[in-house]
Amino acid sequence: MMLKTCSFFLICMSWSLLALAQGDSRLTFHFNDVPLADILSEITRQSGIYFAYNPQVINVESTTSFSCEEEVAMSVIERLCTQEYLSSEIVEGQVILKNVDDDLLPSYMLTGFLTDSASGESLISATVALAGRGRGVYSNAYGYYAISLKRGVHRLTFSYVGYQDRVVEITIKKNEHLNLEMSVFATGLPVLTVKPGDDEMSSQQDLGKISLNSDDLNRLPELAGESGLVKNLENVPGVKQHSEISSFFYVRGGERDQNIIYIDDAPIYNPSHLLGLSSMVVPDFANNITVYKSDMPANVGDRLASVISIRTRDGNLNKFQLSGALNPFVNRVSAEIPIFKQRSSIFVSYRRSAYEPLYRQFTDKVDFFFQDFHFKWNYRMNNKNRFFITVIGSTDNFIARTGEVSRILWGNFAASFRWNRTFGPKLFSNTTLYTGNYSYTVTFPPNIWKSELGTISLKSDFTHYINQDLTSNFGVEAQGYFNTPGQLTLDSTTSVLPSFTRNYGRKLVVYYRSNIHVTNKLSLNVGARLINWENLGPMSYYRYNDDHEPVEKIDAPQGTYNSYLNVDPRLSLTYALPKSQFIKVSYGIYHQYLQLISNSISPYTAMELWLTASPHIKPQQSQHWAINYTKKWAERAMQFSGSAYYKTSENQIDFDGHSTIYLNEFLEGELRFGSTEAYGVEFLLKRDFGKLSMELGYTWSRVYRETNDINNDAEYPAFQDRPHDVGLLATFKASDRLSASAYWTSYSGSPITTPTGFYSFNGQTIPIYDERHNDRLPAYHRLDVACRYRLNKNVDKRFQHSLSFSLFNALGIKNIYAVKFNKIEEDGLFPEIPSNLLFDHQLSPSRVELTQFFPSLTYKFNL
Amino acid sequence: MIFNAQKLFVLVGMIFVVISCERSGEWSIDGRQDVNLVVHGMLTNEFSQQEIFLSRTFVNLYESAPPIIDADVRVIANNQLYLFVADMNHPGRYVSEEAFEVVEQLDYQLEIDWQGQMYSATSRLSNVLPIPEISFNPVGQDSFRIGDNIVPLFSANQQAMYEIDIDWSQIEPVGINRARAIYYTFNSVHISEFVRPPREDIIFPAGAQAIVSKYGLRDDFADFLRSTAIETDWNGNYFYGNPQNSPTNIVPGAYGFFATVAVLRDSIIVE
Repeated sequence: MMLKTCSFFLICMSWSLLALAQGDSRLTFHFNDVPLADILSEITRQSGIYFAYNPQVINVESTTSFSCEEEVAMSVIERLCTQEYLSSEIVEGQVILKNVDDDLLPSYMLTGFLTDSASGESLISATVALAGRGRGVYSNAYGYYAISLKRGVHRLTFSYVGYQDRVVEITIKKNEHLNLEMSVFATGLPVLTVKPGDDEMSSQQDLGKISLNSDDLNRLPELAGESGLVKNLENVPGVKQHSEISSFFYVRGGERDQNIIYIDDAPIYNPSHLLGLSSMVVPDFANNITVYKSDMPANVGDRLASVISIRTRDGNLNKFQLSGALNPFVNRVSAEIPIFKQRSSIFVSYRRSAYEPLYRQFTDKVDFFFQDFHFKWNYRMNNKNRFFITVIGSTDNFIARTGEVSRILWGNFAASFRWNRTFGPKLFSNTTLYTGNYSYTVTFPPNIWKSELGTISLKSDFTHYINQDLTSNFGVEAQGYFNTPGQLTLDSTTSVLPSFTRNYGRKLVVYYRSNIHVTNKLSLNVGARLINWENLGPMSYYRYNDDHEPVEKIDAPQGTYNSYLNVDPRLSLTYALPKSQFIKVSYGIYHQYLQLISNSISPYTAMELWLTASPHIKPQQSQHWAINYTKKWAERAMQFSGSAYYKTSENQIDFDGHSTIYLNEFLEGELRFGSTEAYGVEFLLKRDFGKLSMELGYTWSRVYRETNDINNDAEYPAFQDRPHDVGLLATFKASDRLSASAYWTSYSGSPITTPTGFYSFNGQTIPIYDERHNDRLPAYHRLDVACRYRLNKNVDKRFQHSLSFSLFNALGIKNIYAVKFNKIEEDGLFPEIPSNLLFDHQLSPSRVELTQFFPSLTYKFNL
Repeated sequence: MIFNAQKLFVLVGMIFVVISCERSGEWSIDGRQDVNLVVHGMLTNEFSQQEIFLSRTFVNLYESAPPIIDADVRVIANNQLYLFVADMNHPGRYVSEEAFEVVEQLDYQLEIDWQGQMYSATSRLSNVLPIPEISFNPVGQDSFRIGDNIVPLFSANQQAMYEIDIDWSQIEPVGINRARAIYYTFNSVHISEFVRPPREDIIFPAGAQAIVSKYGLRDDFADFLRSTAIETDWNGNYFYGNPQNSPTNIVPGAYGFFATVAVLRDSIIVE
């Protein structure tokens, strides 16, 4: 067929008799690394035998080596064909060359790293697609890709959102390594681009796993000049923020401690500043952000709701770069310093709040500020070895200089050392040593209160690219945990308090998963995570009865005094339907061994405690079913994604409303355990109209809890039970220099508990409650707008700077996040708690509203 | 330490003034129509005519508590019966027919017969430790403020309630010249204690007389008072948990608390 249609078919003269006669000719030649065409020409020259072939099928320009010494021509041809995986046939005196059947061709690996041509940054989740084969792979978190190819000529398309596609034709005769640089589409202001990618490939993007880059996050208007990670996730269906000034978020009905954020593999336990007002993760510093809401791979996890993995920028490998952002509230600066060009660089950044003008006029005796420090070093020793070191530190300081200096200090510290290593073309490994620590200290000299949580871990992860249909990922991880739920160092005059010792635990994880292409349309991802959790002594703990009262104190000796062994299976099936449609069904069981102990439902992070699994606290467990559907319309630059999920969770922790969290020796007795049921559907529609891009997301979901000894053991809606949630993001690129964006969000109010009556005691009006979460806050609405203008006309200039103006809650809508029933109304003042109990006070409901109309102006530069 | 901690947390709260605000407004309450008995009973170890207050629950926040005037009230201890009679001048107040003092080591059982239902509760006398030094917070040169904490918030050794009556009618005969404030010392720490919501500001002059009454609390009564504080005095700050009913020792199905408490009183001139 190909022979008939090919216009370039070479027809040689039909001297069949001569050819047959000359087949007995003896040939002698020696070629080393020359085009196949040269060898064929030499055979023709010495034997008079002519060859016919389709040059689009057989690449005669590919180089090879071949030798013969006084060998019969037909034998030479036969040996050459065997070496080059060709078949030969004599037709009318010519030798017609064809490729052998694909099945007979050997497979080789094409591997390499994909990087940005300008900065050398790794390109994560870039697509490597094999044209016409419905196959492809994605680069991993280090920009590494590995694709199995049959011997022969292949046309590969490398693509990455925001970058120009690169089409590479490559002849594969052995394992090859190809590092490829890609160039951004156009520099300038970020716009939404719905890039359908290669329609023939199975979609890696669905609503269970979302991959974002900094431009995706920066498109959203900013609050107080900072586009934080958590706030910007609110546009992702299924992710619900507590409220606009909070860093708490809930994913698919999960609790806020059931999410974990990893920065370069190191966990961040409290990703917020200023009690939640600001996020410590700045999108500009992120290379890639992957949000797993379901179908979490076996190599990450031990959280029930979501895993957010952030890969920070490596730093420009080619040139020094200085960038920063200045606004009235927060300033930051970062530097990217090449150490060895193309081999090693450093990324370092510092950020500090600038809130002083807001309170200086009221008092000079206090200070509050936050700061971040971020350092990353990478060294690409060779194609086989790469090293990375990341160090992240952040602190929040509240200082009072009334008398002796008192201070509250919140702090995160995370560090990781990673070593990438390839063992041959098929095995990629990454070994990570990391630590994560969150602590806070309240200092009132000579008293010091401290609580901390820390982890140290060693993890080796391997990816084995076995063949084009099978990729395996496996590894082992050992983690050590230590936490102090609250340690108070006292002066001698203070009353005796219970003492708290540091708890130790360790976790050993072994995992395996395989990605199997069952057919061209069906792929299977199957794996499991085996987790062994141990509590380590010496340790004293209590056994509690059914009334939650301590009945026995147990002094555990040194060594393991409690353990849990669990297997978490993961399974997903992806099927490619016609017309760029994909459907994926997934199921997974997840366990969690670390829990946030907080009975606060306010939007602010407080002095929270963490507890590990223990004899009394069984690991939280969840089963998660999800079905995802994606359809792309490449010609319309449009993509639709839908997802439905069902989750059940056990050993879920809740609290009595008035439980005692701090300085409580019997803290575990305050916990109540129950189950959660969550389900919902999510939709996301993206479309690019050219200058205008739009994203519309909608979620319908429900979350119900049932907890022993709470709400009379009856089911009640969880705080995050907001049935309807809709968000619309529109980005308009007016010119190369000017763009604008608007984000509208509306969602159902959260359930709250309000009184059904009151009574009076000791001059105070005390509320009576009937059922937990018997009421609901009003629906929430907010419109944010932003405008960005690039100040320099020439986009190619080294110095780039821009101005961003954003208006948060532009319509000034009064959204309520709490209602109180214990205050008196004061003309022109905020409602107050009555102090004088000798007089009757007229109480009235009061509603707490959040930000209205928060403008900010940010200047960004890049040098 | 805890006193200082509270100051710092108040300063922390200043951040949120710029980003949130609280306003009075309407809120429709899904009121429960059942009317329940509410008991406010604190018998002391002082030899006096003891008093118990009875009222009913109510639905509308703007209402006052409807008093109960038709109940039979008695207290029994060591087979001794103390009858309480309704005070017609103060509806809802029941006064013991004869003066008595609560003594140690005895169980005092309250019995209330109201609308055909018998309610009961039992309490045993608490102990009380000496009143610590009370120091009021000055405002300017010659005034003080009610509302700031003036007692220890935490003590592992003694839970207590302080009732402080201040009278400056001798100095300012006209206007508000008396006040009563209640303070607590508990053996547990709650975040709401530290970051308390804004309070009504009552300034009184130096030279005012303050009568400090310290009630020692048993654990069950302290739990009740702590719970009511979380729902009232401490509620409305930046950190709050799920609301919850305060416990009671009145059975069946009533609200409030019956306690027998030891009390110490002191009178000071605030200067």
